[in-house]
Amino acid sequence: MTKDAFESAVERHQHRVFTFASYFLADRSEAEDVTQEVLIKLWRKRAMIRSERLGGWLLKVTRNACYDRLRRRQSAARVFSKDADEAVFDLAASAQAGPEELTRASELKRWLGKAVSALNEPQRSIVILREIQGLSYQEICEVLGLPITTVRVALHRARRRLRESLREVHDNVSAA
Amino acid sequence: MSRLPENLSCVETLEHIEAFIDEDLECEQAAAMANHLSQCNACRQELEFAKKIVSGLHTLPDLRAPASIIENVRQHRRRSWFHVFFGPLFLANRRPALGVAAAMAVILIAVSAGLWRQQFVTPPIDPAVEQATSEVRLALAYVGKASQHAANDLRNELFRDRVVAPTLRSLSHSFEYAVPMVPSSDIEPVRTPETRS
Repeated sequence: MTKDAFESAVERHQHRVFTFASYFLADRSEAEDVTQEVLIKLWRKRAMIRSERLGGWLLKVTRNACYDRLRRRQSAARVFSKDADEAVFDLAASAQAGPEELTRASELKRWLGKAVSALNEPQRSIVILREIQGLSYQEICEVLGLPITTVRVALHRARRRLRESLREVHDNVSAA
Repeated sequence: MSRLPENLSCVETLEHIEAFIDEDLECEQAAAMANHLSQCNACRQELEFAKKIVSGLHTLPDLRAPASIIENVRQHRRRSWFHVFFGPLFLANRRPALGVAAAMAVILIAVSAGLWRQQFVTPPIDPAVEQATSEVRLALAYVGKASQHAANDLRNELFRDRVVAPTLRSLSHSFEYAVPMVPSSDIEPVRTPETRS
């Protein structure tokens, strides 16, 4: 991979890597660290990566880096976390929204982001990759190294968990 | 996917709502779900909420990485060797103790290398000085050998006339006082081991 190709790859993939890390870790500064770490690793290993596998490789490395961070934090899940970095979910809720759209939908999105980061693995990764970043089942299977039926079942269970955990929040928001 | 009974309960319906939304059920099972949902208001509301969750997830945006990240990566490319030692300092100062320890180790290695070089590497020697030194060594060795030879083998007359007298004359010229020539008959012979007998 030449320097120009590397620059192009970074431009193309840095936001995708940062998005995954942000929703996974629910911490903006750690997501920045992970993104930088992953891109530096890409520079070091650029000779060994085929361009057609670059996207999957980056997400796999990002997920592993996020997992390492979680283990270091000694926190497997954050449930409606007061510790979660609110900035990540404020950003998610307000992105592409004008002042008139500070509505119940934005509030639900904010809670949805938090609830995603509270899921266990591999449900968390699958929801981020499938529902937020729009990867196909086949691409998710390559990133996570799981069979497709496992991915589908895990996705359904994850969405059920989100539905159950957000039911009360939704009712309160709707009543407000 | 999973097989469902034909007449579903609310619990079974709620458990499979996500698969129903994704059309992952077999035809008969999907029909059983649809039938129950048409008759159960609570489950229908739950289906709507489940769809809202999916819609909400789809609208969570891709986030933009700050420009500082790519700039840091470019700096790392330019200074790879430096980054090996000081990388932790650039990662939002998360591990300053490690970075400080790495910096001190680098400084210590550099100072030790400088002192070692100063101790063991000698400055270049002028070739003319080196030649003069070797010639002086030879001369001294010759003089030493000649002295030994003179002390043991030379006759007094030779030593007196050829070495001592000329040396005295030179000294008298140097210090500007006359040293009279001593007649040879007035000089007592040096008793050498051969003349003692």
